[in-house]
Amino acid sequence: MVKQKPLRRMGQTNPPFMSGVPELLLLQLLAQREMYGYELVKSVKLVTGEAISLGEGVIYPVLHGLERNGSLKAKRKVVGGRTRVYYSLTAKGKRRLERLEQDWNRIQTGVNAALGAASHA
Amino acid sequence: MPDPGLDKLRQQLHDSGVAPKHVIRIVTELSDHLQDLETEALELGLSTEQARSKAIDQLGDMNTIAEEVLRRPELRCWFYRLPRLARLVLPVAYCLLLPAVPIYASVAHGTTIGRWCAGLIMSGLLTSGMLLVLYAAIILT
Repeated sequence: MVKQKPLRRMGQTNPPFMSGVPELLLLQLLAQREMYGYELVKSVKLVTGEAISLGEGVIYPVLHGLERNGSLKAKRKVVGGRTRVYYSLTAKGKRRLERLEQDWNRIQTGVNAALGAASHA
Repeated sequence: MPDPGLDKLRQQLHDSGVAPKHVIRIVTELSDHLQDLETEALELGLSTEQARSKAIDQLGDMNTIAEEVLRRPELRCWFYRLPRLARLVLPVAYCLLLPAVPIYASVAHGTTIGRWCAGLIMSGLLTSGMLLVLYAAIILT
């Protein structure tokens, strides 16, 4: 039997299935282009078909946490007379995204296998 | 007008030891986000008050946001993250700073201190002169 690596980086205190999801989504979106908070929330809603609904303000602690650990870089820009804080992915952020994707795929495969087994039982 | 509770959030984060730069930026970003949500709601044809309420609802509960911030120790000031080191370093730093404060003050406010000292000397000389004149007047009469 192949020994699976323990799940890591998917949050320490929250339920592991959901705590890494906002982080994964944000990194994935920022891998495409730099965005500011409001723009990111709109994009999350768009790409998930509004399947994930959360208070929009909770995005900022996640962004600041990612910035603090070096996954994101924040830059102030004046757009249309307003100062916006744009976030972009760093090299460390790209590596983190790859790891989170692997973790997520492993979870997804496991859950799908369990659901498949349950429906065949 | 409904209040989103940003001031309360700011205070709560400050009191919990979140680094000031994060507190300021999070509150500013939330305020901007709220403004964007309000604009969006107004464009949908809602009244100002309705737009404000809808925007506040969408932004989410400030206590939840505070909890999310406080769940991340990396956003706190270093002396909250490393209290043992802070207990070691801060007293030493204060001991070093204590003699540095008057030195810094005399360098930074040298002109003011000089002017104040000159004024003090001048007033001392003037008082002494007046007392001398008074003494001489008493002696001579």
